[in-house]
Amino acid sequence: MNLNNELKTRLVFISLMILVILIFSFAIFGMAGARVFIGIILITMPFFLFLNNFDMAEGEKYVFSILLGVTIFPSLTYILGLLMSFRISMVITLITLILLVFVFKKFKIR
Amino acid sequence: MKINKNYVQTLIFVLVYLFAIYFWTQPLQDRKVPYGEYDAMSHFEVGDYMAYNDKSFMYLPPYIDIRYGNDNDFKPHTLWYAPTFHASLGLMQVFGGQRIVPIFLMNAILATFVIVTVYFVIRSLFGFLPAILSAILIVFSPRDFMPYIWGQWPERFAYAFIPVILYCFYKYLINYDKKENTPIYLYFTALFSGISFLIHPLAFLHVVFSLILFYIFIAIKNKRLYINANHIIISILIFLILFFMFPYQNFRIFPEFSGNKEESVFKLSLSRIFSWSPNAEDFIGSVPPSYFSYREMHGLWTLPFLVIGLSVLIINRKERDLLLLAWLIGLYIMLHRDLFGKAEFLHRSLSATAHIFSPIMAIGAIYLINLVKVNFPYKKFVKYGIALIFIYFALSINMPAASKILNKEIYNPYTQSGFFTTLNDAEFQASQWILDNAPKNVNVTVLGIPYQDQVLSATSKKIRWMAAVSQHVTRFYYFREDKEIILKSPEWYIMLDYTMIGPLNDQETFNFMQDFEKTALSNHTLVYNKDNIEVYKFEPK
Repeated sequence: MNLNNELKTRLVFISLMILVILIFSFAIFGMAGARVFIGIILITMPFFLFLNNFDMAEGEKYVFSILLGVTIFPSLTYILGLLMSFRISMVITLITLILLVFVFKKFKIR
Repeated sequence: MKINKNYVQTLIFVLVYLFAIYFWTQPLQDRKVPYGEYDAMSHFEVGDYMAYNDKSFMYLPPYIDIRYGNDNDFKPHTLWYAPTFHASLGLMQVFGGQRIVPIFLMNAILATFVIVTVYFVIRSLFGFLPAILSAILIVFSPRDFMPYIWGQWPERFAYAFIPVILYCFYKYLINYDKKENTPIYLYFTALFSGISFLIHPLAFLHVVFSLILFYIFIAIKNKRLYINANHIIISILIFLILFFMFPYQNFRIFPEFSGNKEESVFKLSLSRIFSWSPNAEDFIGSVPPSYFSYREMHGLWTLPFLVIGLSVLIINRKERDLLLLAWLIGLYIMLHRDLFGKAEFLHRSLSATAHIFSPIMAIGAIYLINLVKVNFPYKKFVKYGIALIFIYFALSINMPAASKILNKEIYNPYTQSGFFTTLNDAEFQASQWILDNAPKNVNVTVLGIPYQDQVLSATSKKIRWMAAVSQHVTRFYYFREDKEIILKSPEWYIMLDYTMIGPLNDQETFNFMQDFEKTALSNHTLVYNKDNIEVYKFEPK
């Protein structure tokens, strides 16, 4: 029950932070700014989900997943982009990474 | 209702970081046009090309190749850096749905990310107050935002990895003998080291020295070695996988470092050993002298805190203190590599100073009261008081000094600051029109942009920005030796830019261009005519 409450509080806090950053990005840079922020969340998300499987501090998960998201994700997209459309390679990279996270999770549980 | 302290601290940091983004992006906010020095153009070009053309590339397109075709000694005419950084800019252009703002905003986020990593590491090791004070100081660090403006974009981001790599290695070593010991932190050390190498090899070289030093310090402190063959082999494999992701770019480091591109002789001098910065006179013309001055870059008020902080680390010598000392000494070695004959990018290593100086200053401020061995009831409040004084100095001295260099007016094409260097709206639109309408094989030659010796170094940037925005080779007409051929070639568009002539009151150039239009371009067709810019293409009647 306590854990549940803590999780809820954390989710509320994270949502609040996302809202603050979205408003800031939109106010200063317009729609392009807000979309960039959403883009960063998208490319970071698979790595956060992956790191969530390990016993690490919350701060580590956030910082590490952003660093991995803005570097490993673009590197993979670039390599795929040599063979196909850059935009399609972005989508494929995102889907593949998320699938890999779920596969990893499944194997870890077993 | 009890408010979680961690959340409050995180909120404070997020607000500080958003202010950093606001402060660093000032040149972009009012005018959404590209800006910066030559290096900025190259990084913009690479990321922009991928997103705009919806494809990655192995070989450089002509408008990039003309300048950077030979920068990669290992594999000429390919990218000279691994594409990791530039692809992230390209991704943001796609997400942002716009050409300029997403790339420049993403670059600002990446360049300021060192604020996040320094905050994260110092908070984990020393607590919130030293961490937030460090972050505030780095926001106003000219040695960070000056290279960012100059265009050393990947390097700025690469430095953000140094604190994280050191932190991971620290976590691995301090938990080595514990039950919950996990090699994952050594793997992260290798992973982030490899990524920093992909972003900019210089940051990787920086961290290598600090890692070695920290290992030696801990080994001496605990009188033992930490060797686990399995952990080491897996870590090396992780690094190698990353290294071989982009072999053309990563193997470039070997010819780069084996050659003697810059004259770098062994100069053993006592004064050099005892000075932190390289000699400003060695960089006249490329880097302003203020860049080498402690007073100008940090503010003299920080010096006592730096000395106290350093003393605290040396006196305490806990693992976390040794980590910062290793970081500091590693940077010192990198900054004095000219003594060993390697002077390349020396001033660039100096730009990593604030990342370690600021935490030490903040530790000096916060732990100052601990040096007083007497216990008194309000010790905690005195600590907060010193922190407030620290923030007051940062905001009243460092912020105004920073605002003089970084503000909304720099690179403004409608003021003296950016008149010669930055594209005005008409030039930007004309360049965009060329991108949208001119065939890929077409080059552009421009008349109307001043080319005299006294302004050429500035206006060359404007020409290069035109090339970056139009994605076409763009050159001054005046310097072409093949003028006759150009005027009869369908592969050259002629741009007549009248936008600068009015403000400069340059009647002579105006008359020349009018005459040029009537005579030299009589066989050309006017294909673009807007806001005092005309573009002609050769179409014999």
